[in-house]
Amino acid sequence: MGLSERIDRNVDLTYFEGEIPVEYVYTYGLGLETFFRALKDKGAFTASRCPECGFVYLPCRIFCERCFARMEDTFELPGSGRVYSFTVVHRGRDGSPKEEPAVVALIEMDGADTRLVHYLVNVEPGSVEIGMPVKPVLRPQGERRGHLEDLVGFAPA
Amino acid sequence: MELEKFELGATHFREEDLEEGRILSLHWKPNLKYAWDNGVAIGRYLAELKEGRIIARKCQKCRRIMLPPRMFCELCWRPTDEWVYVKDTGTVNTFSICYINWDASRLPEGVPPHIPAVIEIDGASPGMGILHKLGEVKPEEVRIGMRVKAVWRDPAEREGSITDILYFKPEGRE
Repeated sequence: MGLSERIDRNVDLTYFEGEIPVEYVYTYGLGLETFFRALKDKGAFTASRCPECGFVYLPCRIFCERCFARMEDTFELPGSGRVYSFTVVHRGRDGSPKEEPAVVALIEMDGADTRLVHYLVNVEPGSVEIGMPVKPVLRPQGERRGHLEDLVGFAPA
Repeated sequence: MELEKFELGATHFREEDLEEGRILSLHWKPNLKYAWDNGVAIGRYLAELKEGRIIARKCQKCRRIMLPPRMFCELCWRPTDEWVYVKDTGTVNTFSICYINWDASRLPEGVPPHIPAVIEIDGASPGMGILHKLGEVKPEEVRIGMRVKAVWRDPAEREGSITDILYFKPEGRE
């Protein structure tokens, strides 16, 4: 019977390899374009406040997710914040061990009601605490591309 | 650049806006490599192609000889029973004359078109066949029902792949 026929030696296993060639260009849209443009050009953090419910979004966007109100106006936040939560990462995205552990944190920026996920830098993993004040560390102006990686991370304030 | 804001609809921009940095963007190429297990039936099928043979699989209940081989009969809902070698000759079941490549790019001027065809292989049940290419034939000469024979890759260069058969050519043609 067919299904009793098995491959018993793993050296007899065969496979074929392939690669799906996919590439994409993602444009940020109106809200995030404003945010990343200000981050790139001025190193600023642009937020928007909902005129209906007062919720403050960082990054800025054009519609309130909670009440669907249009948000036209944007303003800059000071950039300071606090660690809301964090984790210490010992493995890379492919599962391989990292040379140095990285600290990934949820950052609550002063003045914003949303939180950012980013790295904590210039800090010993063991010394990180919830509530710790942090400040952003940006790449130098000429090296910024309008990307979340323009922000190297957050360091203890 | 001051982006126009529309109450409804999209924000328009051109490729130059991206290239010249007037609009920010992310460019990403995900790593989508994979390895696909051939399994028992296709594994044997490909190993036999490397030896210059085509193998099929027979179901004793419906008596069909299935190509490409499979370990399970989808009509009888039971495992298939035995391996059967079939010939490397067959009949064109259907074909297409194709002026583009697999990635939809146009073939250069003067390059003969691809002729992909479904070939019913002699020894397999009627309607059982494989998709392959026709060669050594002018596109206008191809007919449904035309007799063809496999042209094999040089034995030293075979790698256990469907491309170990280069193409099928009209039978009886040297």
